[in-house]
Amino acid sequence: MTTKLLHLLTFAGMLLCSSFTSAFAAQMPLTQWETLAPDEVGEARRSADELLRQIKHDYTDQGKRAFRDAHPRGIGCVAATFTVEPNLPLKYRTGVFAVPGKSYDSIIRFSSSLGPVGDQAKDARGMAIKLFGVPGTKLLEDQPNAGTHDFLQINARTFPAKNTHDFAGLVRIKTNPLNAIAFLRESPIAHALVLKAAFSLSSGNPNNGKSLAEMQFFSMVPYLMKGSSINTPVKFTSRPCAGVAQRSLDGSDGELRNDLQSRLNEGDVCYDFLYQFYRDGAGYDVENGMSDWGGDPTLFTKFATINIQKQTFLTDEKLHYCDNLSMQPWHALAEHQPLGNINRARKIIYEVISKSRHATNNESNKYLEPTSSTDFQALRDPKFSVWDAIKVPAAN
Amino acid sequence: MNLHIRMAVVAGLLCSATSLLGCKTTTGSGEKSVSFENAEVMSLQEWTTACQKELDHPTTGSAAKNELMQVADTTDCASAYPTVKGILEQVYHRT
Repeated sequence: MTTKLLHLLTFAGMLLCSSFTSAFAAQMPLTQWETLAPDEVGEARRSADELLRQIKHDYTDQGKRAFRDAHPRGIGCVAATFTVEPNLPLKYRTGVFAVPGKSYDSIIRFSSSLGPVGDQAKDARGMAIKLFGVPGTKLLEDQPNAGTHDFLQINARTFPAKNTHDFAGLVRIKTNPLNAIAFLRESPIAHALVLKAAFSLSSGNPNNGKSLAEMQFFSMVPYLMKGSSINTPVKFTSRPCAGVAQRSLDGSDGELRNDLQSRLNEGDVCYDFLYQFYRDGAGYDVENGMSDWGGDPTLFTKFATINIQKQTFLTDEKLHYCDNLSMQPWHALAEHQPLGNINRARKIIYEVISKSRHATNNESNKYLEPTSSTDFQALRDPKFSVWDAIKVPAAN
Repeated sequence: MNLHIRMAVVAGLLCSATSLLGCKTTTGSGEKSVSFENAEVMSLQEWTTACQKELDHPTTGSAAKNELMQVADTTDCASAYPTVKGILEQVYHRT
């Protein structure tokens, strides 16, 4: 009874919190490429509230651990290094990339967007990189002194909604598929395209059945690249290094995890980290999440190398640690500010959901942004059962 | 045919999209039963009329035509209908 009351109060608090966060987000300055969409803050806030209600229904009301709403299945977290290109041209030396050759300690979280279902589910996969030891003030108001910088990516080039309004529509359909007809009637052609894109990202994703080590991941939406000699929107991508071994997955519910662990038992896994630059007159639209900047490899410039060293990551301890991490585009330096209304909505929604789930899981004390991968790498208990074995900790 | 489908199936279709910003993911525990027996699917006439109106719009018609091409590889509303109907049925998981 007490636990239920606590959850109820937490939920109510988070709803209030989302409103405050939204109001704050509305004051974020826009860059020259951005335009505030009508009621985008309200749309984001309502989506956050709806998602909180869904999390409460799916997890909290049933006494279960509250997983994150976005990409709840952590395929696994791995320690890695992120090394800036030693010969990076002078004009690109800004923010995270200010010092050529600098190597950042980091943790990468690979994920699926569906819940604790198996790896075989046709689905979008995520690759979120958290760099440690990044000096400078960060954009997330709650954590300006965090030494981290996050890069969030999915294995698709574009977001499946143009804007926050369309995304809110998808959330409503997710809540009740019967809402699809109203969504389609509102804007028949544009919303048919949104629905098609949503399917293409999951059941129709061409990466389904492929190893994580062989997939390319994309920022989908643009960010800023700002320095003394550069000021432009960019998109980033992590591309498997040349020569990655092609292997078949084992067909099990843990096929992606097993494949990655198998590779990391034998050696390192590597990605190139590249940027694609905004081009005037090319039809790129910073405010449109579905704006495709093309996939021509020649359009990308390498900025860093990601190396995932040989390691054991598939343990309950490490999955639990991984689940507690908060990956947020606004864990970022101003030089790499997230752009566009989708990113602005993410700021509102991610912050609310992250705080909510840490509170409902009674793990707020563990919500501190880590300062290195040391604690993660120090987790030595080899026990590995299943994802669902992670229980909600008892309330203090 | 069982028209009461588990919400988990629908989640498989849409969650990837909504997850990107934040969406709940239906787990085994969160399954809900939803009936789509009488779920409404846009008629050919309704679709064609609404679609053509968008294509004929003086300022946004060109963009709409481009989007229709991306949806169904055609700029003809009637020809695009089977694709759109299929998308809607996927949402309802009738296919």
